[in-house]
Amino acid sequence: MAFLSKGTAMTHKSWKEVLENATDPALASEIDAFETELLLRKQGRIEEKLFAEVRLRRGAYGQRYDNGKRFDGYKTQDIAFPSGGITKGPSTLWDAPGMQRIKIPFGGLFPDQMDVLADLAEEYSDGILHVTTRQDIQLHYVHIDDTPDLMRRLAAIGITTREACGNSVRNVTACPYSGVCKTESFDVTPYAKALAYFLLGHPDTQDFGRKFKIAFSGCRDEACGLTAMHDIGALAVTREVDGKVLRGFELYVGGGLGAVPYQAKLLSDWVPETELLPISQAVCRVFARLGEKKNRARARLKFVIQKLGIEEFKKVVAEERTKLPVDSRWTSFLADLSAAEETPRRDPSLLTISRRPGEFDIWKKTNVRPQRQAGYSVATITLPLGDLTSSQMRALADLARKYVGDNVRATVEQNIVFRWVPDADLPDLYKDLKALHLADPGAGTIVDITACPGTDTCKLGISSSRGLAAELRRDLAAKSAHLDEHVGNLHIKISGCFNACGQHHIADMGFWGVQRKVGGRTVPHFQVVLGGKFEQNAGSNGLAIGAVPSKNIPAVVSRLSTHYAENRTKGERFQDYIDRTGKAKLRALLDDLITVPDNPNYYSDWGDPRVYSIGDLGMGECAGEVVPLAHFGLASAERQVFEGQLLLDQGQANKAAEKAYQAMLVAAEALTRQVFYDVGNSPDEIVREFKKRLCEETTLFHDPFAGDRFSHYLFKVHGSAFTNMELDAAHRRIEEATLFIEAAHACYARMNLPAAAE
Amino acid sequence: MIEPTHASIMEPQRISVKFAFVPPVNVPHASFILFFHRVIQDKLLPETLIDVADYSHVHNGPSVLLIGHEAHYSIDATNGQIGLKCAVKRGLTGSLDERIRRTFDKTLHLANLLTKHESLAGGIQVNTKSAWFSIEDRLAAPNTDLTFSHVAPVLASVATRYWGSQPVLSRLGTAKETFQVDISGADGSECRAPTRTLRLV
Repeated sequence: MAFLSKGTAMTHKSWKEVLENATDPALASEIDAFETELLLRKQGRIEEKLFAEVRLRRGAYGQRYDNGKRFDGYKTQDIAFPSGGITKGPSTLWDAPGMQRIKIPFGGLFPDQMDVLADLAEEYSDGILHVTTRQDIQLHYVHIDDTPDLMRRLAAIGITTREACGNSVRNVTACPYSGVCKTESFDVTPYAKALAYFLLGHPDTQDFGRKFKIAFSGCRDEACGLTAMHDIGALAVTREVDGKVLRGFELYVGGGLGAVPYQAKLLSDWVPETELLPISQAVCRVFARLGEKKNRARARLKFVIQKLGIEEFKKVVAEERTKLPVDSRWTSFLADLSAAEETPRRDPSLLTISRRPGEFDIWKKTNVRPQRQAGYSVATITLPLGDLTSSQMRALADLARKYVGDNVRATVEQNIVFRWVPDADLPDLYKDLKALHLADPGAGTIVDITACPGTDTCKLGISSSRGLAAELRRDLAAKSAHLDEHVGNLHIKISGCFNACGQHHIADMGFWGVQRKVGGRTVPHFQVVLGGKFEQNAGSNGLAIGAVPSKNIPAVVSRLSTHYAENRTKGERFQDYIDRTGKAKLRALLDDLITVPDNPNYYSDWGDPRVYSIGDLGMGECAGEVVPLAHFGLASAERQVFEGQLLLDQGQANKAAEKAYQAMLVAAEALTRQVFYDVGNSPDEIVREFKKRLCEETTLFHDPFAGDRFSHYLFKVHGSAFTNMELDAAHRRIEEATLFIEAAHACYARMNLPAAAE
Repeated sequence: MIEPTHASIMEPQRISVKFAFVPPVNVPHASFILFFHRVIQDKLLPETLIDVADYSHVHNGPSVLLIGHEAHYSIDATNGQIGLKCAVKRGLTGSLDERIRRTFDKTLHLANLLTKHESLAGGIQVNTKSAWFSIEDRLAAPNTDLTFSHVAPVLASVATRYWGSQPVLSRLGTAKETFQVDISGADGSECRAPTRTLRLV
């Protein structure tokens, strides 16, 4: 980007052309393919359900009202998007703005990346960047037509949105203090990074029935990694053998929040570092094979483990592990763990007493954490509701360059941390942050509230989680100076519905959105969840004690926190106080707040003056669409034939013919994988296994009328060189490839006939 | 495989205009939210509007946004100066002159509604002595002197029609920021939409 920002010449090039040499060719090719898929969908040549999953796997998510309906407070209005009936998924109109999720593995950011993220928010979104509870960055109100260029600009700075949504391995998270924490076993960063990129696009992670989440933590007792609520939670541990300290992980599996939370179960108390990737791969393969594909509500890994039992699951994973073909990537990253070590921007130094600006100490108390490395600290930049403007992000990038270099991370508490701040620089950093209005104290305290997007932008939101969070934040920040210290340390987390994206189960006080019909009116409510534990990596899940009108939630927080402050025994933590007091008594404490008074104020939600309604709820996309793996292969084949046609139109006969061959190869692979999952990636192997399993041992590919004619279209060009092609010949290859792919579709339908008949 | 869309400074799709409010602004934040909802409910703008977003928790940001298909409108507080911003995102056609005029027309139309609407009780005065102009497209229009040399003649010509005399144009911002220009009326003259230029449909 810098060359453009500082450029002196006018450009009439596209982003694709400008960034061509700055982008990893594989990434560039993926984005080109996605752009073609957009075109094909517009032409109706890809079905909407398949396209929905394609875009979700590129991180392009739907948003509220994208079905073209919105309740305006009086009536439901149609939103007249100009694209008419074109859709980008079931009930999702093409022109409706969407959310772009951007994966940031373990939350690690560089200043140059922060600059580009700021630019993208400004140009394609609404000027706001949102940090999520999975260390992602999200942009809202993005038009689908803008996404290819947006992705190209990210790719040029080493960021991919691939598999940010959909039924895939989501962003791999890790404790933001990894590597600088005083209590960690070791730095989990290189392991998180290695696993994230190993599983990204891996064939074994492409056929999930639901999303899959992975987290890393360096410590057992802190909250940072939240390993207990993940499909795979990796907790760093060490063992001493023959005087040598070995690194490994306690590996937990099958955790998850959602409507019914599950605590992860221990798969193994010792997975050596060399086995982290293969064991994780084996877990993924078991999930792909045994996970539910039809009923999305029971498709997470936790249900596989519930069904099998953890002991049987361990056996199945161990057995799967033995089948894995050796992959050098399992251990290659271990040879250079030091590459992940961070370089401080400045030398360490001590904080001197004389240089402290006003209110600095209040900020330092909650927002600064000394590092293991003497003379350095981690400074937390609290982001209200996880939001910051493009200007703030750009300015933060400059502050990072000034103080910490590349050592910035997004956190699961929706904040940003600067690592390796020399202690003597903390007062200056505070002053610089204050100038940006980013020096609010209270990181990790009761005012640092986590909230999902809720009714603001989510299609499933029932109540305004962000509206409530903003109100509580205002209210508590005003009182913070006088709050009891133990109350100040509580955590509040809010979800707009039961799906728990705001992680309400693991908060001291959690809330999730519901609605109640009262006197003929629909009234926004929140279920009050008490007793969850954020510490010990999301150590326990709370339980709901009753639904309270949204407008009474601030009173709930006030009453519970006051009761806790007044009645806690010495040293008693909130969870213990909840257990000791009992939910019945706590519920009685809130009884009068549960009733909806005769007050119109209660008929609207926080921050939204419209009369409340859930009439315009949409269909959720969180689960994505369950699309069989073969569908992707066949769709990819069709796209490649189309690209071959475009090349032919441009007179590029050799490339067109090669593209036609590749299209057949992709289709053949998709079909072969249906009967032999472990078919390799090499063209020779694909053609050999396709021929053997679909044309010789069986005749699955044979057309009832044309027999084996179509398979020969592939066989005759396999191994050919694509040189000196005439346009006519290339044209025939395109036609043959089209017929081959049609035959592949017919074959796939025949293969699935019994299932379809059921 | 798709033919790339080429960026051209003379055919930008993303143009923004902002008019600051005359301080002090004594209108509660909630009133702006209510106003934007009323704009949707009563179909006060002849374009596709989608929703209202509240970003009041973010400092010096868009504060309250009226999300539209073609443009977003916001009670913008960037740089600490509160005002009405119209950020056109798509749908602009014609010459650069026409594109700039359309953006000005849209902004002035909503500014006019804002000052008169009952929900704001006449609490807003718009300062039309100057305006902030931006092209939010770093590819077509990096914030450079060269871009300014291309855009300024057209912008000056358009602005002269709105201010009645040639205003002063000053390029703003750093190289990292979008291309942006301060437009100030000469001798304190005010921007007024010529009736004939209001072509909003």
